[in-house]
Amino acid sequence: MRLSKKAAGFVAAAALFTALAPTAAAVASPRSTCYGGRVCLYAGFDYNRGQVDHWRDFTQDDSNFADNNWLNWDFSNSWHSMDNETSSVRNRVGCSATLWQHPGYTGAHSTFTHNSNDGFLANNAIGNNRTSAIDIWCH
Amino acid sequence: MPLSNTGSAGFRAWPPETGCRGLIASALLLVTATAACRADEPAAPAPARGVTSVSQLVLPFDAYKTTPEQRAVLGNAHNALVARCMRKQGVTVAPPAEDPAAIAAIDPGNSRRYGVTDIAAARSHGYHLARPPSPDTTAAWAGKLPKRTRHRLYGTAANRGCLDRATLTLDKGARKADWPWLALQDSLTLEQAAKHPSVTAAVRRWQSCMSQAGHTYPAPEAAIADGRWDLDKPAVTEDEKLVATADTTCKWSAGLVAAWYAADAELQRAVIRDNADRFAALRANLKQRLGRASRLLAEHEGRQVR
Repeated sequence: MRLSKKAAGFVAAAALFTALAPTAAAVASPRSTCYGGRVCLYAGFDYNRGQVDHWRDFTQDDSNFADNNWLNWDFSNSWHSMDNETSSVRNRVGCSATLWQHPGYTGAHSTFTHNSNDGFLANNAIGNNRTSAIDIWCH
Repeated sequence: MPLSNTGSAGFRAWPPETGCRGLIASALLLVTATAACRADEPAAPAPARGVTSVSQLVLPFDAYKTTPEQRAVLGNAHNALVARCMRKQGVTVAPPAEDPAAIAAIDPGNSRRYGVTDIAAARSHGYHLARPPSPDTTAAWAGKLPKRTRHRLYGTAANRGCLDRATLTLDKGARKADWPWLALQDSLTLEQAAKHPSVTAAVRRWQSCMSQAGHTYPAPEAAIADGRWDLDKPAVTEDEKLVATADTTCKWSAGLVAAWYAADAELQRAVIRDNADRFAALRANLKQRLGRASRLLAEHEGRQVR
């Protein structure tokens, strides 16, 4: 009961041609780090330690990851969709944040209080590689 | 915080309601919406009877997840460990305490597990999240730390900071349990239940109900994904509220929520029945982590008193 994989594929494909990597913020968080004021998601376990550094940080809600790509360590666009590909999270945004299984903040979910980490998202209800949306409670 | 021995890990039995989602209100809406849908309703199968409000959407797996109270205990123990770790490095920090009431008030529970199902929230917020504002608490203590201190707190690619170390300390010694497996089951039962004949029949009734209300969508996912609204922006249009209200009302009157929840709950009960050892290990793991967190907090508070 979620968006079909085909539809999601179209969206992801469209994103490849239209989405640009966001302008690098003055303070962002590749290389396993995550500074204050943001929620950081990582494609690999343990905040990408020892793995390809595909990461992205958020300061506000995002209802559908299908049109988002991971960033590389140097802030360039990896061209890899981050939909259903999150494996670890750090919450430094200053309030709780919820990761959702399906777009539109629906399906199974896990909430992370501020200053919490989860290097292995499979430890939570949302599970590994099943995140499609994020809502940040104070933004 | 100890786990209860009443067949639950202490998970809240009744998630907080965001509006008039009680039985009476739902019953009134059901009568109205059912009447509206009746004319074009497929003959069979009939809508599933059972849950009639969001507050009743409590699932068997919920008993193995943390309650707001437990999350507050784990969060406060983490805060105490962070403060201790930073103190060893000559820096005093005081993260604000986690409040279980605040966590409970904002927790969405299962209200959006089957898509948006809260009629009152849909009426006021459309498909957008309906939640009270939550204060940003980091700026007060961590936002103005100098760069070197920030590195000690957050860590670097090479070294773990105090936040990471606190997490590892809290998990140390807990009996291993297969949380990844539970996470997978939690997602799978939802998706498998969606294919149950009672649910697919209810989706057809939902379609019919929505058509009668003037909204043509092939499935609930298409309604929430309608390009006319942007859930990433705060603005909620009257059109969005109108469609979301019809959508949620039809979900209940068509028996979609009841059928999906019933199929989901049945699948979860079967998983628990067939995997007693795994669930015992999950409960033991959470119990140990909570016990460790409680002891750390008691020790921390004892030190503060002295």
